[in-house]
Amino acid sequence: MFQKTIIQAALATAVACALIGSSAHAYCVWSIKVGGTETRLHWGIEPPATIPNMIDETGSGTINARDSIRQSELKWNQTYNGIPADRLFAEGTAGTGAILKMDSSNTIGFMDLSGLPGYGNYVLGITCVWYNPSTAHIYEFDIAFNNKTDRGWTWSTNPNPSSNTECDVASLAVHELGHALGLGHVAASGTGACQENDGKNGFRDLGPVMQPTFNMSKERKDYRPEGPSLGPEDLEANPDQISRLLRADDQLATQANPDPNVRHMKLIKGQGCGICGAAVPAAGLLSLALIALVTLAVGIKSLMGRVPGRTAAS
Amino acid sequence: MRSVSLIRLVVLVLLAAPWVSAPLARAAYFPLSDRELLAASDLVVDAIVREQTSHWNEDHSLIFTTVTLDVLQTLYSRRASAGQVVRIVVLGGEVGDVGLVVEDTPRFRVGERAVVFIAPWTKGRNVVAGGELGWIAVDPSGRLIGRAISVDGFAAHLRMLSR
Repeated sequence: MFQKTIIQAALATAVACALIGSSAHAYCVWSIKVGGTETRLHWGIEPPATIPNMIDETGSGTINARDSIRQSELKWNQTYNGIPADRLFAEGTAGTGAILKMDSSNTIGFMDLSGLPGYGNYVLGITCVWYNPSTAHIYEFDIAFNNKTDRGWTWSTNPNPSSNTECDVASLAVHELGHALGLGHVAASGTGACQENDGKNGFRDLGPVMQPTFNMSKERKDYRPEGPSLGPEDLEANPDQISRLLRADDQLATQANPDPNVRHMKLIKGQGCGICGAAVPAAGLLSLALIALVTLAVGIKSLMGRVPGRTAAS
Repeated sequence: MRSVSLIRLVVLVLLAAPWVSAPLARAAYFPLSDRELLAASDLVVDAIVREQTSHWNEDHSLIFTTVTLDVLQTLYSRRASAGQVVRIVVLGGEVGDVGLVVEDTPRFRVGERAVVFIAPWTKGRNVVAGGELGWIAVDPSGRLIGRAISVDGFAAHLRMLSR
């Protein structure tokens, strides 16, 4: 009876760890060295403070890009604290802010990105994050959706694009707004971005959102993250974790940088959540080891039961 | 005995689950292929970062960083002369009390070795083709990080793609 209980408990733990571990994703934050300490880029605000922004849909064509971008902001806002009225991103009135220019205005809009170094047809959009190198405080963000004339795709408000030449503005906006919060890409190895499923997972569901899957190529059949649309459930629905991104005094990114010469931006893998982090594989392995031991014990006992004179089973 | 077999089966399934599910989790990621990167480049080098300097662009709206690369070997070239030193411009950097970071932009560090896909830009300047995908770090043993292939092997791979 005792053995059965142990097996059941170990199996339950192992199953839970396998499920959590296999579905978990890493997240990455941008950080710089400030006074010798690796410091995460952050806004330095506390709830209910908001990040105001302007949406300039000029150049978006005939679609209602403003509403799509508002939906994306709402998704982050709902993730932030579950109450849309207390907003993380807050749209202000139309103004004169320029896209991709540091002018104290967080601006979201459309522009031809081919004039930027290395940005061509394969980039759907980019986010510029301006910060203070002395404090790692974010000053401003600007998001630009590429409207290069021969870009090879059309902007859409359809959450379920029918072809790979149609891109949903709202889906991309969710991704870019993640950058505006200081999040980097989560990607496969060898790309310069962090890897997902690396055992140090924090924001469980940010992996799909922050994958750089929006870099379109002609051969690509799917440029969308997992699933047809992104909702609050695609982010981590834990208000504390999102608000932690905004603060400075948090240990989300405290990994030491061994190279003192590094001055450029560094991507640090997330390590904020115990249940999704290293504790999972450790517990999973322990459970599996326990199962193996118990299985061995049961097997030995069963074999011994077959030895003549030892068992009276009949 | 039946219960022992069942437990063994469950253990096997649990052991296999993470390996089976891991690729699925990455299924949404479709980077530019090497062929696409090559098509977007006219020069691919194995190089070491000598220095990098950040500066404002002409209209003082964006910060660029000029990165100087010492070329160890040219892996692919459609240029008349590749040269031993290549300077590339990337978006982002720090100037005084202002820093700019942009995703998709490769981030270099002085002394680092990397394979870089390079394309021409305006005013005779060079850029990294394919953003962060066009920069692949090389480890001290001469293997591309994350690729499980040596620089020489990658050069052969590029030659095959360019035919």
